[in-house]
Amino acid sequence: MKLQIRDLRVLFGDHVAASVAALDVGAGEIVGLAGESGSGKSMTIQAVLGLAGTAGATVTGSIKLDGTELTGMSPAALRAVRGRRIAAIFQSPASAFNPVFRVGVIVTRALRLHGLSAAEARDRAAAAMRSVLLPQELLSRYPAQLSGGQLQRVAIALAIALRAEVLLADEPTSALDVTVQAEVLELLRELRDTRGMAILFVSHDLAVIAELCDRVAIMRSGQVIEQGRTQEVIAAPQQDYTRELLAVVPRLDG
Amino acid sequence: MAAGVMLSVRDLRVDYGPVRAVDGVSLTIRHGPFGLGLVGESGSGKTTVGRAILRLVPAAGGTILFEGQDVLRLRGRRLLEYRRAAQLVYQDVDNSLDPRQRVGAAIGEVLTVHGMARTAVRDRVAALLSEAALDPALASRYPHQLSGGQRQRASIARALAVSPRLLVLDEPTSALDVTAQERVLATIRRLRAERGLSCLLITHNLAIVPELCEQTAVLYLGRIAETGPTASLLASPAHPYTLALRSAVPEVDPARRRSRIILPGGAQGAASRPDGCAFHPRCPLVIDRCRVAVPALRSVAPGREAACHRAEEVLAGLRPTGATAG
Amino acid sequence: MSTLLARAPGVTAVRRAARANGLITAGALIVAVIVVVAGFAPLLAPYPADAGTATHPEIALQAPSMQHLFGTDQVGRDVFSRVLYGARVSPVVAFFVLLIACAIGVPLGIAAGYFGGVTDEIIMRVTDVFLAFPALLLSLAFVAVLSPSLTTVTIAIAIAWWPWYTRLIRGQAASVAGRPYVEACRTLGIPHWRILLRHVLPNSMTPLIVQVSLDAGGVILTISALSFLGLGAQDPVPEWGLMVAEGENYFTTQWWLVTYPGLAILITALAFTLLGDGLRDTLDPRRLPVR
Repeated sequence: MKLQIRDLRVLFGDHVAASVAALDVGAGEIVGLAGESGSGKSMTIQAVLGLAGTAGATVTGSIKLDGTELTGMSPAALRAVRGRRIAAIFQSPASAFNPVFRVGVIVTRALRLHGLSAAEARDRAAAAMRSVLLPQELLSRYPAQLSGGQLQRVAIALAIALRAEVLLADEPTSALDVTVQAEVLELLRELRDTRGMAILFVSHDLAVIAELCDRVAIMRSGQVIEQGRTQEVIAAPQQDYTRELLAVVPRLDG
Repeated sequence: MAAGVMLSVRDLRVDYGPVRAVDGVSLTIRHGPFGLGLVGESGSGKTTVGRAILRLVPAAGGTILFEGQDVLRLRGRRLLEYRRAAQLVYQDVDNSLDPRQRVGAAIGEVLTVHGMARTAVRDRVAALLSEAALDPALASRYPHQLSGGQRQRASIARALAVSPRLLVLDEPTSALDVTAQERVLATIRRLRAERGLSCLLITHNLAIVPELCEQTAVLYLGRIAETGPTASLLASPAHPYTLALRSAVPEVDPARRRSRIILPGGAQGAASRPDGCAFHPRCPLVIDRCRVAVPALRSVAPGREAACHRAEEVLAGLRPTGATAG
Repeated sequence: MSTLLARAPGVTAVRRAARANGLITAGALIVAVIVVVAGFAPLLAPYPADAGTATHPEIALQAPSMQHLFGTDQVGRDVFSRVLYGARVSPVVAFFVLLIACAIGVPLGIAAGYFGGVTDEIIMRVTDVFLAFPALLLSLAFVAVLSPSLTTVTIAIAIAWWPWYTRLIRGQAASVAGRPYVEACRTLGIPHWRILLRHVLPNSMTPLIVQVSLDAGGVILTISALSFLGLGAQDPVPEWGLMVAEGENYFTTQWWLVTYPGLAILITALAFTLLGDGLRDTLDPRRLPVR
């Protein structure tokens, strides 16, 4: 298991924002975290990234990457892990890129921060762009000149360039057009199949989760209420809430 | 005006500076209860069409007739009346209500401005909120104290305050969770029936169209790709773009999934509209003719129009290699 | 929908309020003291007449003592009483200056931002003309034309001050005018004046409130400066700047003539600046729901 979460609790004072008893993400697997806004799914991601503390939350429990405990790690040690071994992409790709810098500069700078030389950084960036089927010349543009879908793919390219083992995706396609979403999801599948990445995919859309994720955990009001192989959970939901979530997904056939 | 037709758009053209965002779009919206789905992605010009219809952006050409009147020429009091008859529901749920105004006051203001007596306003506001499936007690709250779905429904309640006949919904659910989305759509469906409304649903998500719209029009780079009754259009598309759109919609039920048609290249902007068919650089069924000749929107079956040189073939079942039939 | 850090229920807001609280409390406290002093000056001052036309040449230039806490000035007036009465002058003048500046600047800024186009061009060009003059010079020129007095100074400073508010508000108003809810108001048939008054103005106010409180300190300094130059208050008005000017010649030996009024200017300006700083912290990032 690449990522192991046990008894994770994210608290704001007395308020439990997220409580995950057990969640595993293995290499070459996409696990979905489904729920509405406020269900705690984003908070869980923040906790894994070690960023929940910045928001003022207290985090208890265990988060292990390949057996190494992440909670309680020193900020310096955490920085080596976060971004390098655990990468993340978010709902608003534009907000992940500093608009004042060219995209290529942002990417290579991130790579260099994690120890690569300038030449290595350039090469890896170029290779990664090819992997996400984006033309190299986009690297010389500013974020504002790229579409949402293109930016999201660059964010994924960065994760690839860093040789990240785990990818946390927080509603990465919710703000994208449906055909662009399809492309990004296809890309994520490739990451799972050809690079063996462990992907934790957060979404409120069960249809997307059904198509993409091998396993799914349903969250409600901060708690994980149901977990299992996606097909099983969808075919035979145990909880009423899960049934509700399934029922509200709009279907093409009306 | 043909019987039953409320709004008729003919050959609408809208420019954003040097870019022609809408290039000759024609639509028909019937009297309510009725829904027309205008489906397209970023750069398709769908929002612009909606805004042009409401006179929120100037049109560069074409005609828009609302119950016989030339919308583009309306002025003064007639324009005001039209503005009341046709209302817009915004995509931006966070900014469609004044953050410093309580929800009830926002709706009440509309009623007051249109002459309702102070004493009657309170009750009417409560009634409108209930119609939008909101607890009347929410009238005393500020927008940020409501959930996204509630805010959207409050906006709808406000739009209903002027008793519109046409509701233009611009991506009404894109910013919402699936559960909130369902509630908003259900509310609109009910209002449509109760008030006999006509709705123009602008969206990129094909999946929400069937429950609200009898007719659908697919837009690509400012031009109509195809139109027709929703059920038949979705079941047997006559345009390759519709095929791709349909295949991209995620499905919960694995049995219903179609194999993805991934369109090469990124989304195009209207500024770089190619010669010939606007879709040809990305079309999986492109032939030489597509690169030079702009396909005209023509009838390909009763009630079905498509702008594609191979429309009949697509309608008959032609698919890109590798795609599952359907 | 991921709302990330903003979901932290009020945590960041609380932290900000706590830090801001210190500033606002300190500022508000001092301002309250000044207001009280101004209001009760006749009761608090041991020699109220000294703030008026009374003079006592026989006790001139006495050092601070129990009878005269801040000493006496060159014509024997109790400095302490005059400083207390001064609280009625500068802050009040500053209030009117800011009031007039806002009364001119805000409507112009709102109109420019909301209507845009030609209206915007005309208003902003006029504003630019006024902005081109250094505030102090403009005030000086104005005072030179009319006779020096507090009223003249009030108007003079207000005339130099209003363009800043126009510019500030215009940007905000333009931004607000572009928001969906303003457009919705138009489509719902709400008339312009109502939109301006009830929607654009309230949503554009925040930076203005902060700026005005910060400016209060600056205005007080400007009043004092002009009075110091002899262009504002005239003797025997107990205006702090004027008192500093009058005591200038005696500074090295009778330091109390300059020091206490000077301190009063400093503390008052500081109080308003603190208030403004604190307000900015609480008002600025406060509400907007982050998505």
